[in-house]
Amino acid sequence: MELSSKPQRRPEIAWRVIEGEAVVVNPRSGSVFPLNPVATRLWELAEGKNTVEQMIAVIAEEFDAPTDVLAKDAQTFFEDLSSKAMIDVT
Amino acid sequence: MGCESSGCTGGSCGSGENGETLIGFPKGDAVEWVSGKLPSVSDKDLLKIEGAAAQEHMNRIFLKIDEKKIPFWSHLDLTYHCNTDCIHCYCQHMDESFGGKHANKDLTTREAFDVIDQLAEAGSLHLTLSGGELFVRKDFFDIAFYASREKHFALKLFTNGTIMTDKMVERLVELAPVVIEISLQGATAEVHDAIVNRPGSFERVVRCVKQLRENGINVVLKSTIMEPNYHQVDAMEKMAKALDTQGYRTTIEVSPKNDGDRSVMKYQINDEQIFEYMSRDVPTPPAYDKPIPVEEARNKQTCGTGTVACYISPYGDVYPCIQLLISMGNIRERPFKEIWEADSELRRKLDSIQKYGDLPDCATCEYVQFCQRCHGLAQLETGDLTKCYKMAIKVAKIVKKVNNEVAIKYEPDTQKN
Repeated sequence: MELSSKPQRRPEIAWRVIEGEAVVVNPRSGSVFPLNPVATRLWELAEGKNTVEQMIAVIAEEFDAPTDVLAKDAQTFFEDLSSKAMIDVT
Repeated sequence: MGCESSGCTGGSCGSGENGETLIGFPKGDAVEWVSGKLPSVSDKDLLKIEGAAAQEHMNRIFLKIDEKKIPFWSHLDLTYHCNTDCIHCYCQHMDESFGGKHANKDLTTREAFDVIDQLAEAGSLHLTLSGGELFVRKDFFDIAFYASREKHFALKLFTNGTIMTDKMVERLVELAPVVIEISLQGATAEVHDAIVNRPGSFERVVRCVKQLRENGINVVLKSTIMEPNYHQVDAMEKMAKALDTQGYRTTIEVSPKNDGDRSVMKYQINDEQIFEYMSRDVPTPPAYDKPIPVEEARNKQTCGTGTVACYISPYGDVYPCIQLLISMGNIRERPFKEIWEADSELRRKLDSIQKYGDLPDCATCEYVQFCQRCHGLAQLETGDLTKCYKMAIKVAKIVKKVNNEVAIKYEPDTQKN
């Protein structure tokens, strides 16, 4: 996943944020994914407008976390979601 | 009607989302057998969480859902109108006495959107849409797409499967519900059509299931096992498998009508048939779990009615669940949040019976480990949702007998020998 990529949640994916943590359901596969607070923010920001790099900048500030660690985790996270057909990437 | 006798969604009250498999036939040809439960498929068979860490994480979220009384599982009936007339239907909601001043006034499209907004705001994720027959609503797809695309709900649809066109299938593929549950009341047209009181229904149901499965939509078939179709239960189960569905759900409990009329109870199968049904020889030995110890059973959670699950009628009334029809308030008069969080006698009662041991009758009952009680059926039969009721104790006794006399042979240790 390139840092310049723009991930976008697929429209049929169901999700709800419960006390800062998202529960995401892929209705076609039946898979349920609980997300931690950082992954939840990435998921919320994945609207197809923000690049991965922009999202990392937002989250680094919100969670006071190092960008190099976030970058690696975010790229892995979105690659995983892409392989599960839960996001589109442009 | 897409519902199944009681209309309970089965596993939609917090017991789902912890299974390991997508399909409802997890043990070869067998339907899963869990001590104390009838062979069935529930949410846990349709929704899967991959990995122990994710399961542990989800359990922590469930604790928050439980603690905050978030109605994570919601059920919204869009109408009580139906194009079939099942002999065992519990639904008397068309009667003027049900729904008060809102009786027979289905939520408009805009009102349905508003309900969906409020449920999403309350933290609900899983939404069952049903009826009546939900496809008689001309605005069904407007409402369903709004719930899915605008408010990100995971949808489950209940239908009788008699209204399905190619165009509807196309839209359902796009909608992507988690599952569509379809009523099957017989393995032949003669039996099914006589129960639903509509000639040609069986053929339509079969065609509908084929259409949906050919297009990759998850389907579960479900039946109320009763006198008129008891002799076809094995055939219906085989049919569900042959039609490549994700599972087959049954209930043996015919509910009294929701106005208390017990005339439909004549269709209930008798004790010997219940025992035979629960003991039947499925194609391969069913999985068997030993019953949990009595003390553990008393600490077992009761269903999540009114805490993590809610029901909203087509007239806007909010109930703890579809079976427990004590109105908490009407969404046309007060916001959902206000209704849900209001301090009331019902709320206090529900909060006080979170475990089987909290129920006076269950606290001393020797059959508690075999029981799957329903607060709503207790209310209907006894007028007190905390009391034991005849069907619960009857089934619990039969489950115990099955465990003692039949299921013992399926214990893993026994099978090895």
